[in-house]
Amino acid sequence: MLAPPTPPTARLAARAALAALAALALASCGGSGSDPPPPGAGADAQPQAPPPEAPDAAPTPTDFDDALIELGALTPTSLSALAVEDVALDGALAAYCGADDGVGDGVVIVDVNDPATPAELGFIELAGCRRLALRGDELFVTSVADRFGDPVGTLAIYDLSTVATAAPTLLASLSEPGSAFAGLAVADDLVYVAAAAGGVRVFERAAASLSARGTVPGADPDGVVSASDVVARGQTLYVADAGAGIGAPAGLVTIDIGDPDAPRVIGRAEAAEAAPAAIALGAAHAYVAASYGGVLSFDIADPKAPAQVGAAELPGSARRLALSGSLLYVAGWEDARVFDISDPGALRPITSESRRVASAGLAVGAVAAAPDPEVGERILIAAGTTLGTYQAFPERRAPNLRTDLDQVVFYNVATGDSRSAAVITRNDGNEPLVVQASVALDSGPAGSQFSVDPEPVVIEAGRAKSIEVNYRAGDADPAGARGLLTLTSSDPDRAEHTVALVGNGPKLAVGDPAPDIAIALLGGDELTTSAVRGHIAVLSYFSVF
Amino acid sequence: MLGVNRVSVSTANPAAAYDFVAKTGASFPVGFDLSESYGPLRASASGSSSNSLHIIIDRAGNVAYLSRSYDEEAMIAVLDSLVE
Repeated sequence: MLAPPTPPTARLAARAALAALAALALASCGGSGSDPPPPGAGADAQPQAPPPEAPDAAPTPTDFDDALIELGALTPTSLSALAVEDVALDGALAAYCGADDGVGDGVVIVDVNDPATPAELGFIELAGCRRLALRGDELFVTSVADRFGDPVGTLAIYDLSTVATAAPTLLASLSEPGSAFAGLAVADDLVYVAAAAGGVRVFERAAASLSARGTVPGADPDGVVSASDVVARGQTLYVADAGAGIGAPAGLVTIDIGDPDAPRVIGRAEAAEAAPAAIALGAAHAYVAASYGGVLSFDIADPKAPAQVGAAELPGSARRLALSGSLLYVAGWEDARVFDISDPGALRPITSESRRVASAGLAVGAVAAAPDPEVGERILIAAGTTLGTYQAFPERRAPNLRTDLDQVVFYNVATGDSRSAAVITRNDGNEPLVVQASVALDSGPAGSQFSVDPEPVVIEAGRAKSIEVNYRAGDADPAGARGLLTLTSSDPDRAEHTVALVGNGPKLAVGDPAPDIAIALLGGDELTTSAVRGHIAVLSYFSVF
Repeated sequence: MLGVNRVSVSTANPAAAYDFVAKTGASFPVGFDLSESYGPLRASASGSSSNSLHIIIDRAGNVAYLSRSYDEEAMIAVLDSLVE
């Protein structure tokens, strides 16, 4: 089942030692415990989208339905990079790109005219693709080569007017050593590019060329530190500033672009504990996907004095976002999430949509959405190599259960002693969630016991509660105890949600045979420690948040 | 030695991992443990760190070093003994 491991560097082999860094978890990676049912599995998923203003049938507690329905999906063979970077949409034309910094990176051009059958129109092979913008038949793409070494940023423009019959044509491109290009904005003949620590770059495009105009330097704690995304409106450019790292200043920066040769910072709003990665504009507010900082909203009525007014958590990094009407679509690596932004100061979650790349347990999402005269609204969510089309039903109401763990492990509990652990249970829906917990002991030595309070708990929409699971250790037994926590809930998609329980599981000592550890490498290869037998392997587990 | 992310536990986070690797300049392979080994290994290790875990596996596939603390001297000593 595993792909043959390929040592990524010759230096590695020369050292005869494998230094692998594995992300860690308190529970299994890619476990099936909390996997949602496949999207669009609802019996009433409709092949054609009715206008979204069509009134929903009044929901009853026994008649919940998803507020986000998958209409169709495309999984082209051209794209093999699992890490989706961006989705762009203009009318019925869409593009999405993925990059694993290797073979299979590129941009898929998609006809989404019929949401039920999104069709691949073409593919642009492009290593290190980062962000996209579609303007009519023109596709603007940023990419970064050698992202982990000496990055070279490229901005390219492709003509898609003949994509139905011929390959996309490269119209113009421009590369800059040392620049990690990311988000971009196109306004008339100017292209604004967020260039990480290189600040913000302004380029002018002619029919078949790109030339540099002004620059706002990066690495400036009073201006742009690390630009990740930009949106242009009128004389102002709004910049998502990812900052210099965890805890460092980050937020929203506004730039006067009245003179493309001399753009200058005019305002700045700092956000604590956030790493802005993408930005979208509403009428008087900016919305920022802020990685581990969740989703942030800023009042931008005065571009010189932007101010944060709201925030919402996301279970994982908020990466990309799109605004359509009063709904905000946010893609994280764990799921895509819909918020009602009628009150920008109080982002109200409506629903979430999980997509997984089943083979590796990885899911990275990007999203695009826009009102459309043909179908009311187009919503695209990309995860892995798949692009799905969706329809939103914000009036529909349902609870949405999530747990922070899919496995709870108790260790080093002496016989007769007890220890408890909390499973954080969230309701990310828009109706109260009723949860009843029960536990079962599947195996374990005499005296072993898992227990939980069986009293039903109600979790209001948008809130979380701890469910305490207790483990009492039985007689000493190297095999330990195993059991299951079952959460019976009013979430129509997760009527029964299970979490694995392990008590005093088996241990290892120096000199014992190491378990075979399988690692999904960034870049797509898989490596197992058994495959490097004969070499010395060094593994370090760390986590970042 | 550096870190990669799993914020939650149901899925790995390649985006955050890429970003972190880019920031730190790691030159060795980085990935996500798919094998549920972390729990038992961590439970078997001593040391003070809350999340990190360091393992050296010898050529025969046996555990040669296991600790929650990053102790460079101790790890180099073990590696030296294995290389000889």
